[in-house]
Amino acid sequence: MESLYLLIPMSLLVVAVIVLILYWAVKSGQFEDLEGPGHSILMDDDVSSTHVMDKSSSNTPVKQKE
Amino acid sequence: MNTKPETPLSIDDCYHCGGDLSSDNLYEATLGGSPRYFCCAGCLAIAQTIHGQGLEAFYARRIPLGLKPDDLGQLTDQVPEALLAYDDPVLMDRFTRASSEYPGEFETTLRLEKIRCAACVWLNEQHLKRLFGVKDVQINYVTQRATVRFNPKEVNLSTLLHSVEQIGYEAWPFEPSMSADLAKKERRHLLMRLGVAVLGMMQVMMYAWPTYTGADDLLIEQELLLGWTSWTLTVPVVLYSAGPMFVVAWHSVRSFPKTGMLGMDVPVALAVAMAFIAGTISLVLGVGESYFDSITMFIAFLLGARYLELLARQDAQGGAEALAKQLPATCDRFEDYSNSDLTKSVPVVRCVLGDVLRISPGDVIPVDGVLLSGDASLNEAILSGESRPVSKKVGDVLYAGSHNIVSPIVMRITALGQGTRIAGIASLLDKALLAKPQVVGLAEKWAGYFVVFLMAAAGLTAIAWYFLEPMKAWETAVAVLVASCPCALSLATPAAMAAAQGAITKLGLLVVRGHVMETLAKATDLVIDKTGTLTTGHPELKAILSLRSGHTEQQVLAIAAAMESGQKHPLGLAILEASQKRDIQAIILSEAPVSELGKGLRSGVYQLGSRQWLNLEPIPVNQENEQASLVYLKDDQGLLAVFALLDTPRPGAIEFIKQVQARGIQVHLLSGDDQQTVVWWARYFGIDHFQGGALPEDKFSFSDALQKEGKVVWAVGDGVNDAPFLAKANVSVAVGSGAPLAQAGADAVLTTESLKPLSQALDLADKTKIIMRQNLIWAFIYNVVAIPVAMMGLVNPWIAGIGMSLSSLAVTLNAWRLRKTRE
Repeated sequence: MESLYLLIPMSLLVVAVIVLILYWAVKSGQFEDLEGPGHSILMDDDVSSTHVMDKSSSNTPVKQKE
Repeated sequence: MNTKPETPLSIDDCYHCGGDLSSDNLYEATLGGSPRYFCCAGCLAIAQTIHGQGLEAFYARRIPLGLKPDDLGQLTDQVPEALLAYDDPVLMDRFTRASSEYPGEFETTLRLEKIRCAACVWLNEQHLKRLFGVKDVQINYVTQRATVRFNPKEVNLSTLLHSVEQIGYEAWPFEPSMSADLAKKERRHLLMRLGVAVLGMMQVMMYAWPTYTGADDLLIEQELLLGWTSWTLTVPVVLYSAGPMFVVAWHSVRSFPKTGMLGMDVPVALAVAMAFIAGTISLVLGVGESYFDSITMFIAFLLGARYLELLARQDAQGGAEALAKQLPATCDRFEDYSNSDLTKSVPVVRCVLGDVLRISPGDVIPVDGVLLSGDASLNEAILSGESRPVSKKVGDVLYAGSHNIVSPIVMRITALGQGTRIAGIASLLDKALLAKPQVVGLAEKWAGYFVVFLMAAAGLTAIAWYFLEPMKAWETAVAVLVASCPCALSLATPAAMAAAQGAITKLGLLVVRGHVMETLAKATDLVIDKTGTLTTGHPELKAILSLRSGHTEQQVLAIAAAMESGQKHPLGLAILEASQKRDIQAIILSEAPVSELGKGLRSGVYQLGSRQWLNLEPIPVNQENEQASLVYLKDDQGLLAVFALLDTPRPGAIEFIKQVQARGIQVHLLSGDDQQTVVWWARYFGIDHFQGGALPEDKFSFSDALQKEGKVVWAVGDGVNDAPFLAKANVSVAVGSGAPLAQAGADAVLTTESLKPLSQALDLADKTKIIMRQNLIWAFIYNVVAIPVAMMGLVNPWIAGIGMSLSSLAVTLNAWRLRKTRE
């Protein structure tokens, strides 16, 4: 049970760190839009470059939608 | 995702808009290595822009809309004049602000229109980001607002707006009001408070674990360590997270002599404070129990419910913001009206009384004024509720906010800004919001009495125990306060509300002010608007009458559609829509149709328009089509056919009215339309109480009069003319497709086309009422049992803790049942 003397103060420290992270997250607007980023990660430029599209035959992701 | 076929050789549909391609008018371009075909130069330009930036994934990801961009004139690289006005220092100042973090850069907030899916957001974000001089773009998917940071030396506001228009969307700069800033701050503060409380709760409960399990192998020092660690974590929760509650409670106590009521925060603050003090004393003395776990949990639960409520409330728009959206920011002003017809696009804020403006067809009039030239046909539905276009002659008054339909007009300004009719309605709305009866919630009423009773009980206990056993007096008094737990009571209604609101939002009714569900269940009178609310406000082809023998409906519709093609008159649009619905190909006319203002169209032998203009005998009309607008088609041999067009009832409207009447709610139909039309529609829906020709002021005083009789008024409307009475009514619903100003005054916004969610909301309101009553009864019974036991000094702290948790849990779970409501 002696481990309590180490673990309890450590847990306090962890809480303090979490509060700081929370403070940063709230202040930088991480909670302002809970829907958009979920979509945007799916939409990021995985097929964006024009060159890829120009050279492509029928195997680009876009064409596969047919 | 459902996408348009990407086959390179498919030439049935336009590559960009998916519209039908006609072989005589075809544009071709090689994009992405394959030949693509387009219906018009506009679509071609958009597709080239999109491909040119490597954004072609848009075509795979968009949800097909089948919409053609309506204004193709703007799709050139040249920034149109109307937008250039935004670079004027006055407007620039209004809509941009210097960035606080990046010196030399400016920020602006744009409201994006026509955003329909996540792909739209993505496209706009990427497109703007690639502009030279744009540093950062953030688009909020929920509010559809884009925050753009840019260098004013490299790019200006008009270019930003134009580039959004180039890809087929619309953007207008948006003046973030002070209240919006405050709302954001409030939201962030509450979220931070909630976060701290939840973290504190989790930790403190963990430290309290040995107490729960009755672990007896802990040393005294270890117990002390756990106790003081809990205390350390409870302090910020009490002082920071619950801080505002103490302030509110204090104000409530101070105003008690005047109001005679104590707010819900008073018992909460009192219990938290006393429990904390008692817990600290036990900790110092090393005897008795600490209540830290209960305190933190209680605060966390309460703040959670409040945060949800705040989010829902802040979805509402401010009145000023809504008004700004209603009117255009720029206009075409004659530089020197009497001598030349040169016009220049200027910001409306720069205009003065007496200036002369030109309003193009399809535009919204930005100011009040008189008509100087040209017969005008205006849609004033948003102001008056009149569903059909109003004809205006030279010298007639034009109102800001009305829509110019047919031809360009010239007007002289007689009122600007706050002096306009629409601003008058907006200020009436603000007044109404102030005068809105304060809804005293069920729980608050009970809490008022409960708190007084509780204080008396605690005081009495302390006094009694002081004589019996002075040592236990303080402890028992605190036990009474803690065990009696305002927790269940204060969660009883908010939890039920939050659950009901969540359920109803999914069905299509966005609840803006918290009391909606509670008040709906009490409504005695429904006051409902006609145009745009009970009916869609868009005419639809009902029947083709007096068809000349030898002709089919298809034939005459094909002729009419050919004549109306490209027209903007609502009746013409309805005929076009009907022909598209029936898949009728318009005939090819030998001559282009000529529009005769306010009368009709002429092309070769064909004439399409009003009976008076065509010099025809009136045709017999059955009762069904009595209210229809009739459009006559004539050729060189006389009458060919008559098209009967009628406003269409909203889906679910009849069922909704029936349901409301079945509940014994008196329905009143109040409309700005003429009496005859209103009578017809009232009969159609089976409504006995109706009134036509109602001005916004009439609607306002009508609901005011009802409320003075003690009735609980439920208002449903959509137009600017409905805004004041929506704000005045006890509970109100604005139709989402209507005017933003109406939504600013309403308690809830209908987000679907159908009125069905209103029927469902009524059912849900009943259920909510039942659940709230159950919750309150449960909290009451718990207290009736717990308080005497606590007063007798029999309550063991951990029993009090469990009782407290269980009672709140029971209330929350009971409320959660409301979420199960299915369509």
